[in-house]
Amino acid sequence: MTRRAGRAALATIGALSAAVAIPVTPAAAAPTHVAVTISGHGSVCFAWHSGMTGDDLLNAVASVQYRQDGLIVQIDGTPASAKADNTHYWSYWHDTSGTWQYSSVGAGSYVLQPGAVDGWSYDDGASSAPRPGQDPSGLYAAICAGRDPVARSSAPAPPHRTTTTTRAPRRTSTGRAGGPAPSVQSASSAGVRSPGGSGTSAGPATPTAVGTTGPARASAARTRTSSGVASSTAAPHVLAAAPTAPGAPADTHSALTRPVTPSRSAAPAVLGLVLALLLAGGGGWAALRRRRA
Amino acid sequence: MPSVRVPRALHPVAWWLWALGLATAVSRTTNPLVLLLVLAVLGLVIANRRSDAPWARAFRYYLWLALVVVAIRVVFRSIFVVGVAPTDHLLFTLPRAALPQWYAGVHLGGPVSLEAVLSAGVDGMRLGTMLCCIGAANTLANPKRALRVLPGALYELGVAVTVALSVAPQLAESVQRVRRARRLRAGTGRGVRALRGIAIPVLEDAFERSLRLAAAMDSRGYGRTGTAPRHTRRVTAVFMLGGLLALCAGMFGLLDAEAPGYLGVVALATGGTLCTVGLAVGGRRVQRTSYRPDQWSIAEWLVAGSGVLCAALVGLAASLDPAGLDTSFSPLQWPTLPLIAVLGVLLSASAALTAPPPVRHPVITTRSVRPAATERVAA
Repeated sequence: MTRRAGRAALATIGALSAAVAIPVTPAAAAPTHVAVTISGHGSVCFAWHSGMTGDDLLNAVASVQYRQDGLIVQIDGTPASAKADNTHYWSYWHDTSGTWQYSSVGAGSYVLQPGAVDGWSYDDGASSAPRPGQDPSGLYAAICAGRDPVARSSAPAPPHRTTTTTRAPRRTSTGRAGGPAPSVQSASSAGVRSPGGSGTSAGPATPTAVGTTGPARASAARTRTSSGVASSTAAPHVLAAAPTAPGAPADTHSALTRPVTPSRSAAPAVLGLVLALLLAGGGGWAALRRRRA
Repeated sequence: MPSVRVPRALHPVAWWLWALGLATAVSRTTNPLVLLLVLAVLGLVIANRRSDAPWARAFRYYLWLALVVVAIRVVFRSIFVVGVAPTDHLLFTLPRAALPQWYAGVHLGGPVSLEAVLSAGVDGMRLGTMLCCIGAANTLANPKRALRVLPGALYELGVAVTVALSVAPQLAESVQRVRRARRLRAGTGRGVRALRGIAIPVLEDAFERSLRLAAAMDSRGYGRTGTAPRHTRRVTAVFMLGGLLALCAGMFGLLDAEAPGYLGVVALATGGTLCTVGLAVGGRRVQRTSYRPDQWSIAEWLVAGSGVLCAALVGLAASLDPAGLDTSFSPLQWPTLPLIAVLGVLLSASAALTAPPPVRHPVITTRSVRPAATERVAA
């Protein structure tokens, strides 16, 4: 009996400590992604690799057209005329500590650091380029929370993220009131609620794709519904509804779709070459006749 | 009964208008097919309508110059790599070297993609084709007769340029003469060492010849400033300088997008009128008669008109369908054939038929004497 009790006590202590430990993610972990937001086309989170430039990132997430000298004239079909001059061009910005800063280096020369956020906004005739529409504070967390755990833990205010699962609050008779839900992993075993995890759950009550809904979670939902947590703006109906990042379209996990350009046939080119050869042949024949005469 | 066309030289201004119309059309497009067609048209017209004068054989040097322009562009684009998208086809990679940050962080080297090489090549081809258009005008139109159309106020300038144009072939002939003399005397040295032995006699020859020419021109009354009083000359100078300054300001105003509106067209118009007035005032003092002026008849209208029509049609195509005239090489795809532009270029090829046949002098070379040629000369 004592052994069983001892084992049960050990198990509870272990589970408790695990449950306590898990929400406390080390905040000093390095981010692993970079984000880019393109005005009018959404935002994307992308995996960072060493030596990645702003140009690499843009090409990875959107289809870009360049001019002969390398100037970007079209991103994802905007503008349709693919022309640029000194009042119509794509401007390049960096999210530097909560403000948008106009880039002083070109996209091909700017080497990205992990956790950086790039912005692209189109100047359509204004004498100075407009800033990208997104609010730059906390933007990395806002865009990359779904992909980068560091972003999730460091995200300050915006609580709701895009997710592939929607969760409806459930009501069950059983439930343990008290103790808000574990916010991050479902590694905590189903039956355990940690009363001590209240501090960390004041952060983003972000449902993750990993999270499973089970009877244990039902109580969490109810407690979330009932308790006005710091993430008060994340009203429960937001979880059920399609979440929207500020200003960005709904699905920001997948890369922006590239418009598929239909491949042209070579027939006009061949016809043009034949015409040119005919004319050149006529000239050559005239030169030959002149030489013989 | 087929009518035999009388060979004569077309008015040089007609050839220049035709060539400038083609050059304007080329400047509006980067479609490689249109550029190739323009080059083919130039070759056709030159082969059919050039004369046998020495300046009419220089077109191949313009083609070499165009090739050099293309090569320079491709090399520069390969060294200063910009805008390589991940979907590009990479040819090879040059070793990277980053210039220091205070040099704006310019990067040298990097991946060289097929798209970049092609776009640089087509861009260079456009410039090269424009150079070939000017070269075609020089080949087809007698430069000395072209200078006759200069207004009277620029008469002395025209004379100086005519003399300069005559000097170049004389210089070449002088060099050949000196080299033959050296061979006869078993001249030693080759390459750079022989240069001194050739250059000094040639320069001496040129100096002597120019002194003789100056004396001959002076005895015939060239170089006199005429009977214009001093204040007329001052007024002419003021008008011309003011007109040129206004033209410069007008060009700046047109090219700069942020300049105020009045600076562009208004300044150009003012400058144009001032220059015209200055030329008219300055030309009054120069009295000259023209001996056997070139005639301007139907053939001139047709040739010049075809060039202007080509420029107009390509301009129309540029405004209707800009995508057809500007090829982009990322993504890599076949160029289209813009019908209106091609029609314009083919119309300009009509100059090969509408221009009168050139005046041909049978040439007897010392190496091969053709019996037909000698008969023609003897008869």
